[in-house]
Amino acid sequence: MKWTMNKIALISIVFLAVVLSYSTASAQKNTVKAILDFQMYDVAYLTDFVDIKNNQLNPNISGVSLSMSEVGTPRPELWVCVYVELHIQLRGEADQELMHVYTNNFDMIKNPVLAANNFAQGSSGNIHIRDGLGTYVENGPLRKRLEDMAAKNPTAPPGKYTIKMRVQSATSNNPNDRGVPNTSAISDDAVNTITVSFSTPDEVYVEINDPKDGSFFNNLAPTFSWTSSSPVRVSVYEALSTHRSPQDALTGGNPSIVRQNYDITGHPADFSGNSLTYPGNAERKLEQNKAYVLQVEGRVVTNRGDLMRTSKPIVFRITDDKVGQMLDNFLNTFSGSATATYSTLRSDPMNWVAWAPYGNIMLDGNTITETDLQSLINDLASRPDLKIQLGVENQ
Amino acid sequence: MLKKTVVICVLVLLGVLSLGQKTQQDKKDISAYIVKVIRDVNMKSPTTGWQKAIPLSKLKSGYEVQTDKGSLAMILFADQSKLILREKSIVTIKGEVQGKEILSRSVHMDRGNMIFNVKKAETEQFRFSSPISVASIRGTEGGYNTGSNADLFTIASGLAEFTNSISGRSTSVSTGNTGVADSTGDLKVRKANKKELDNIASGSALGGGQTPSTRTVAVSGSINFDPSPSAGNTTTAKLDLSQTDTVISSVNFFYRTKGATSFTQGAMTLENNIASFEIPAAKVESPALEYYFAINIGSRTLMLPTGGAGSPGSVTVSKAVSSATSGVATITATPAFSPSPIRSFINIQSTLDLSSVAPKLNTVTLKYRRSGDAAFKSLALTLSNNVATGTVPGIDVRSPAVEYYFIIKLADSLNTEVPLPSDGPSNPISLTVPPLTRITPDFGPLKSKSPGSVSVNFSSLQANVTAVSLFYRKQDEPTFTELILTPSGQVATGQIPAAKVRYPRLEYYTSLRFDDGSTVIIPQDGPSNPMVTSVQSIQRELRIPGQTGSLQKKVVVLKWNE
Repeated sequence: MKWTMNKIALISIVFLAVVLSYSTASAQKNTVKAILDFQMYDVAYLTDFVDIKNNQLNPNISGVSLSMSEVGTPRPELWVCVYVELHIQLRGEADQELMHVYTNNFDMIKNPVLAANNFAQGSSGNIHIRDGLGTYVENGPLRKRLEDMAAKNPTAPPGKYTIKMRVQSATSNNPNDRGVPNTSAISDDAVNTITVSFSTPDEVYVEINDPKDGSFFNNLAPTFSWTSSSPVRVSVYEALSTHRSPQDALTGGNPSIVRQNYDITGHPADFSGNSLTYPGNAERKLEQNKAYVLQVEGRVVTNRGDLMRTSKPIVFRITDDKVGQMLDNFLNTFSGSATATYSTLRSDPMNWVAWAPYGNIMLDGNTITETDLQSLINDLASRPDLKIQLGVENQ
Repeated sequence: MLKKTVVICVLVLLGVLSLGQKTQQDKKDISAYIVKVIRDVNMKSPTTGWQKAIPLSKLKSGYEVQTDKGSLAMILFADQSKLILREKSIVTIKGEVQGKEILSRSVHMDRGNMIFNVKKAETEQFRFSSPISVASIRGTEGGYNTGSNADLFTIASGLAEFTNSISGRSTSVSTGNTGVADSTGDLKVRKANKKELDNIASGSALGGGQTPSTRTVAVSGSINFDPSPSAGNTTTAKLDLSQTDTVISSVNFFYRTKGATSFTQGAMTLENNIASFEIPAAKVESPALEYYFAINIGSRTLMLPTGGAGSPGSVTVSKAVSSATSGVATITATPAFSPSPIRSFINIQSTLDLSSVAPKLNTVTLKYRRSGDAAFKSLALTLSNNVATGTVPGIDVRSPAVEYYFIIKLADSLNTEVPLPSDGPSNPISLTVPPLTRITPDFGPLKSKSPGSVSVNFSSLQANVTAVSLFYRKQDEPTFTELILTPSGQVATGQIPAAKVRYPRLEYYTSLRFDDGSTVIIPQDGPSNPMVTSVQSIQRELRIPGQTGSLQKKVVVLKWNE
């Protein structure tokens, strides 16, 4: 959507930058202490912060506040104005000031909290943007670039957004005073740098390095490893014989384990790093002759909540693969299409293994054991002239 | 003079008629052809009435085929899957194809008896149904019989799913088993009995395997030389082909004196399928004539014996022998033996014409022995008009030769004995006897890993057989196993255990024991160079279910013939 970035919209970005601040900004210089409580996002959707249709900051952004409190002896009133300066360092570029701005004069004893609606166009409240000559200064070319980026992408461009903020004495007790404040600061400069890492959640990547899809283990504590650009949650699901795809297993059952390497409220990280060995204290232990699906999800924090970027689900099996090894040894002694077919079946990406849960080994319609199979294979192997056809049937 | 007989059967494969197969069109009704019709077979389409079916009648989805009493129909699908409808059966064929892929195919049988041999398809299952049951098969050979109260579903090879439609119960039916579904909803599986398996085997035989239109022609004949060849006398070679219904266009006779390099050719006269050729006297020379026949049938020529010039037949040519001059006489005569050619273990009629001998004769004795024996046996010949005749028993007529001479006792006062030839006792005449080869075991259909029946008919031997054994082994097995056959009359029978019957062939030789305690091996070098008979393969199938890395179920199927 094309929209024109005007003064209000630019202020919106300023506020957005404030919103993106997760850390607490604390400014105290003799008189006032200011606190900003905002969450940091990996991806920020501009449209949730800015009312694009009206070119103004969304006045209904919740959970966003700038709190100011008086230090020292309480006073009946304390008139102040707030100076805000925004710097942007887009990915791969130098830091530049985008703008700086002042609010009008207001009594912070009566208005200790600034919210989104104080910066919205047409705000009828006591606090708003100072509308006087020199009270608003912007970097025009940079603004134009941001405008172009915003037209192409609904999210804030990746980069570092740095906010400098200080509370100054009011120029007067007149809220409509339009002059440029040259008053002294009554709080320390608060400087916060917020990093927007990704332009979209899709930029987050998660790739499982080990195990490879379709591999199998003969131990019950395999180690998984992956590469991710964000913290991850690791899940393992059992694939039942009724599941026809890894996705069936992910959606059709309960996980055998779920582990994450990031903190969430009330739940500290289970592990750190980019690998995990199947723990002995797992909710369910791995079992022989069962198939499992491993999924690693990268966590992406956005202003719309956490998004999980999922890896390709990886199937691994716990089996000693005795039957497969029998066939390997047997068919490797043959030449021709049977060997080639079997080799293709066994190698990536097919990674076929004999699988007892799918049915019994049958000879001429009768069930045979692995011991019987070995005897049969020994017999067949002793007859090198035997013409053996190998086919693969889908079931 | 006894005539007869050499009977040699020659099987000639004249050709194979291939069935035309129409190119499949994109998605349409399945089609099939009635490729064989015996007696009364009728067919009808969904829109027409019953009409007589003839070979190569085309069937489409919805067509019905009906066989009357004593009738049979063979239906062939494009993928070579085959149905054989036995008498009093009625089926409806349905199905759909897309391009070359068979999307669906079903045969509903209201009643009757059907043999099927269904080729395996990658995805499609052949479905049989009746008012009582449903069978889904893939790549299977078997039989399906539906009656008013129960269905029988027998699998000769392969695996099938069998369902009782009334109760919905299902079961798998594997090789050698019969599923039984009845009108009460019951369903069970039991071992197929011999009758059921024989029914399938005979049905398959009717189909002729992959070449249902193959035609074979048999030519049989007997060879005889009349009179028995003697040096310097004409003899007529006869080949009696009257037992065959094949049209013989001409027969040529090739002969040479044993030891010569080239054959002389003569065109035989052919009358009522009996070919004759008189060998000029000058060409009849001792010790033997070697010969073969070239039988012309259309554009083909069959050799008899089949080896032709490479392994000709042989008939002994006798020659005149003389005694030493003893007293008043020197006796010269030409011994003759029939039949001609000599056959092992067949009585030999010995004739010695002494009509030209002047002295009065008292007795004539034939002294003979088997080649290799030390002692001679004596056979007193009957003397009539100075022609002495007698019969050497078949048990003494065996390869490689019978050695003989004569003792002629004169009716003089001294009862003078004259050996003929003069050095007969020390240097007897040798009468070549071919090895016994005509006794060949008759095997029933030999199917790998199934018991095989065998019988040996020894009625053509003029000797008392007291025991018959078959020595057999699987191909490449180091040792032979003896199977003692049970004699009954002139035939001995037995059964080879299933474990010894293995594709592709069975090697064997036969042992005959006679009442004189002697034993003959057939062929003579059987232990080192045994006979061979083919064993029909069975397809073995090993199925190993497995899982791919994407959780797909893929079954590895190994197949081989054995």
